[in-house]
This record gives sequence, structure tokens and C-alpha cells, in this order.
Amino acid sequence: MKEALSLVQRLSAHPDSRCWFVSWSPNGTLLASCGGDKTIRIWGKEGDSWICKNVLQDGHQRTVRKVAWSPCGNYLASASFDATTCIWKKKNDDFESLTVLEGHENEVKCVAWAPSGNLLATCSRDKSVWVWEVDEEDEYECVTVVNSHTQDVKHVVWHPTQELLASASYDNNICLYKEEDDDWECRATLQGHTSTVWSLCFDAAGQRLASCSDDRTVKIWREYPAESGPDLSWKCVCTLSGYHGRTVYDVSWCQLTGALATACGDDAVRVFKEDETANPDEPVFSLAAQVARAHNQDVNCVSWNPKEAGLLASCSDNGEIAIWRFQEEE
Amino acid sequence: MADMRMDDDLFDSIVFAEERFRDEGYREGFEKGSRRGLQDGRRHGACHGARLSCEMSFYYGFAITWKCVLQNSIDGKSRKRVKALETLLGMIQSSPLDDPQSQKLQDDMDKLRAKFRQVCSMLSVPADFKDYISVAEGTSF
Amino acid sequence: MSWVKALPVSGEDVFDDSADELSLQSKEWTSNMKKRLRVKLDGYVDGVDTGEEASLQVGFNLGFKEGAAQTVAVGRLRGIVSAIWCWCQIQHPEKPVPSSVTDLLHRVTQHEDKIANGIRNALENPPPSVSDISESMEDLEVERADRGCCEERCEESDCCRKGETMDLDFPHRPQRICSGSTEELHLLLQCCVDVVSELGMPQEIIDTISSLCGKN
Repeated sequence: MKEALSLVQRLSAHPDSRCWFVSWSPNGTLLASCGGDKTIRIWGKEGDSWICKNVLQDGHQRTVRKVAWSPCGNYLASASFDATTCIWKKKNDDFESLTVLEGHENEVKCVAWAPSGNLLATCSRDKSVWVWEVDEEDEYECVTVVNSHTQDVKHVVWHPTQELLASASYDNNICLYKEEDDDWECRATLQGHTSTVWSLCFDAAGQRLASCSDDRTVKIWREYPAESGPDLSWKCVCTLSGYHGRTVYDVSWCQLTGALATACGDDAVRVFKEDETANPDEPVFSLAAQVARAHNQDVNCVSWNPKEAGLLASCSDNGEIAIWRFQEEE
Repeated sequence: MADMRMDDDLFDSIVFAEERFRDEGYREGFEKGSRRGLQDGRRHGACHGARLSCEMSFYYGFAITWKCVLQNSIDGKSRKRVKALETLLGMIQSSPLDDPQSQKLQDDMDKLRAKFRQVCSMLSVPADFKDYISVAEGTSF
Repeated sequence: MSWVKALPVSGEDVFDDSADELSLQSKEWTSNMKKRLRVKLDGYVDGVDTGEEASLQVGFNLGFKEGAAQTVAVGRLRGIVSAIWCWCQIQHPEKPVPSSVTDLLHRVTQHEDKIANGIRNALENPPPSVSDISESMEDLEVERADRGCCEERCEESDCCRKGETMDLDFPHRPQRICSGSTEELHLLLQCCVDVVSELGMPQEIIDTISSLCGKN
């Protein structure tokens, strides 16, 4: 392999606990992590190394499952098993808890900001997806509760440019939602995975969606012109199977290079590259690099830095964060 | 030969008689069982129907009262809330409790509960408000 | 094959007074009748199971609508009072919710529980179970045999009709639960109207409450 993943730094981020998720700030300078220790940590670079800048605690009573930065980078949202979502506001170098969004019946599994920054989506084990509207006074109001899944909803993600929301569930399906007369409605159900869909990621243009699953595969879905009516048409154009030994927990599509990274229960981090000469209806991805034992336990999340090409963060059940550099040797 | 034939007839008539006894018992039992099933089903159905209707009616009473309270306000926030309340009321009215077997009823109830939660969230109704709903939900049989 | 010989050959009644000499065979006959009645009982039990299975869902659907109708008014009223309760709390977060509202909510909730309990009690005190019936049936039928009921020919006779007259089922009427519940509900509705007026809440709420009165 010409390409390689080299370790930049390993951080004991949430000692004696799990590190569930990492998220880069929109300008790529900060990395937020969250874990089973109920805290959120903010990491920044000083000199050549990444250090912990802030610890956000007392916001949640239970595990913090996901964190998400607002598009402006001034707010951070955290989803917790305590059934709430916290909104934190960045003030100088500190973060203060701005508001707590209540309403889900139980564990909130994911939170995501829409590209406009005016909408926030959350999902929960209660099988519902909620969309919240943010007004000028930093007030949050639930505008919709959608129950299109029959099981635990694991992940929500917004389209990079449109107000299109996608969710992944324990019911093996992916749902796509659009606003219709003030209410959000499921416009497409993507069926194909044979087990829990854990995570989703759009490509930079938003024409394709990558999904990863407990069925050990990654699927690439592509939008096609709708045949009729308001429903959207997304079809699976590629399935990456045979690469992952266990559940694929996360997938990240680099918005700068198009490289696709995966986090897997077999402790490995993998990077796939697309053959750009292939027919767009039948894309071809090949394994470009992998670190078999990236962590000594399940890898829960991978995330490409949005500004620095090739910089990848991963985190694991062992509480660690690892920062990698993906090098393409020409 | 004649004796043999008579024995055969006798044997047939015995089998036939037993069959008739069985059929007769079955008929009586079936009638009895049908009545019993009807009653048992009816009682269980009544409990289930009462509970579901109680929950749905609670949402209706709650929503219509809030609509009355908010409908004369003209600010944007109230307008949005009234709209959500009207949606909830519309959903209740289009969910008739006449076929407990229909999948639609189950789906409708799920949607209703979701909408009710949204409405509560919009109204900033305290989280412990759920306790008042659980009175109805606790009435399980 | 002795019991076969005991069978009436040509419609002659084996229990005829003139058949004293057959008393021994008569005993065998009785025991054979018991065997047959066992067969009948087996058929009966199968019939009960099949019949019950066939009608359970029909009954459920019927009861569902009946039960649903019983809780509409009280459910709505509890929704209304709960909304009033929340409104008070939001309107005056510094003050406790007026006791008139809290008391009313409590009473409505109790009334609702009472209705639910009425329905549940009907469920917990059902008529005799199928096994009770089967045992009674057995006694009944054996006794009948001992009394000398004949076989198929007696279909039209009184002894077999007895199966119907001895019906152990309780006649079941649609349950009318809590006979005093309508008055109580009206009382609660009136009380709710008073509370709404006291609090100076919109007239439309009173109209809604009144419409609940009308329907019940």
C-alpha cells in the first residue's frame, strides 16, 4: 500500500470509561469528545501536541453519547442517556450551559445541527426523531416529533447544504426527512442493511450517503431524480463487504479529499479511496490504509478534520482518542 | 351369514352412535364456548378500549383547553403552538376507536403520543407532568 | 361382546318395566352409556375450545367499542383539568396551584380510576370457568344416564333439552358500570365550569365542558 495511517498522538481522554464520540469544530482547531464519565472534553493544539482545554461536567446525569458543534462554532450540543440534550455556549475560552432540551422519553442517542444553524435534530431510544428550531434569543422550540422508525434511533445527520435530515436505526433502516407544511415527514426509507445501522455520513456535495452497520458492511446510497410525488429516490450503489471483522460503528467521509474512514468493533480504523474513473452508478472503493489494532478495544467513532486534509481522529471503548495522519504518497 | 351381517350393522350403529354422541357434545360445547369466548373477549376488549379511549380523550381535553387559552394571542410563538394543538386535535378526530385490530390504530396512537410530547415541549409543561398521564397508563389490566 | 347384545336391537326400550331379567345387562348398559358420555364430554370440551377461540376476537372488538365509549367524557375532563392545572402553574410559577384546581384534578382522577376499576372488577369476577362447567356437565350427564335416558332417539325428548335448561352460563348483559357515575360526572363537569369562571379563563373552555355534558 502506498498510503498509510500514521499515529500523531494518543490521548487518554476519558480514563476508566468509554469515549463514545469525537467532533471537530467547524474551523478544525478544537476537538470535542464525550464519554461514559458524563463529561465533555475540549481538546486544542498547543505547540505540537493536543491537550485538554476544557472539561464540561455537571451538564448530564448519565453517559454523554454524542456531541455536535453548531456551524458557527459558538455552540456545542451534547446528547445524553439522561434523556436530555444540553446546549453549551462558547464564551472566550470557556463554555457555559445555555439550555437543556427535554422531551425525549429516554436515552438521547444523537444530536446534529442543520447547516443553517437554525435547526437541531435529536434522536432517541424512544424511536423518535425531534427537530428543534432555534430563534434569535437562543430559545429552542420543538417543531416536530417524527416516529418513522420502529426501534431505537441511533444517529441523525443533516445534508451539507439542504434542509434534509437522515436517521439510522436499530430497525435496520435509514429514513430521510423533509419539511412539509411546518411538519417534518419521512420521504424515503432506505432498506438494505440486515442489522442495526449505526451511523451515516453525506459526501461533500450531498449527492451520496454512506451508512455503516452491525451487518459488517458499509453501503453507499445515491440520490436519483424522484419518479413521482414528493418522495425522494435514493438507491444503494455500492456495498463494502468483507473488510470489517465486526460491527462498523461509524463512517466519516472527508469533505476535502473524499476518503472514507470507518470505525469498527474489531478495533481497527480503515480508510477507503474511491476509484474516480468508475461509473458513478457503480462506484468502486478500495481499502487504502488500515491500522488493525488502532485501539485495544472497539473503535466507536472516526472523524476527519474539516480543514486539515488527512487529519483523522478516532476514539474507543478504552477511553482513548487517537489522532492519525492519512498520507497519500504520490 | 345373516348373523354376521347383523353384527356388522350393530357394529356400525355403535360407531355411528358414538359419533353422534361426540358431535352432540361438540355442538353443545361449541355453543357454550362461543358464548364464553364472546364474554371473555368482550370484557378484555372493554378494559383495553377504556384505557386507550381514556388516553386519547385526555389528549383531546388537554389540547382543546390549551387551544382556547392561546388562540386569541397573536404572537408568533402562540400561533405555532395553536397550530401544533390543532394538528393534534385533527389527528385525534381522524383516529376512530372502532377497530382494535387495525395496524392503523397502533400507528395512530404512536403518532398521537409523539405529537402530544411535542406539544408539551412547546408549552414548556414541566417534565413531571408525565405523572398525570401515568395515572391513565397505569390502569392496565 | 356382551355389551353389544345389550343394545336395543329394534327400537325396543331396554329400560322397559318388562325387562327386569336384564338388570345385570342393564348395569353393563349403564357403564357403556358412561363410556359414550365420556365420548360426548370429549366432544363437548373440544367444542368449548373451538367455540371460544372462534368468538374471542369478536367479543374483544365488541367490548373494545363499549369500553372506549365509557371513558371518553372522563378522559377529556381530566385532560381539561390537567391543562388548567398546568396553566395555573405557568401563569403564576411563584404561587402554588389553587386548591380548587388541585382538588378537582384529584377528584376527576379518582372518578376515572373508579370507572377503570368497575371494568376491571367485571374482568376479575367472571362466571364459572370452563373446567367448572365440564365437571358439572359430567355429573349432569351421568345422572341422566342412570335415569335411563336412551340414546339418539331421545333427541326430541325433554331429557336432552335439559342440557339447555340447565345452562350454567350467567346471562351476560352489557356492563353498566357505576350507576351513579353519570351524576358524579355531571357534578365534576359543573365544578370544572366554576373553576374556569373563577380563574377568568376563556369562555370557549366552558363551551367545551358543556359539550361534554351534552354527550353524556
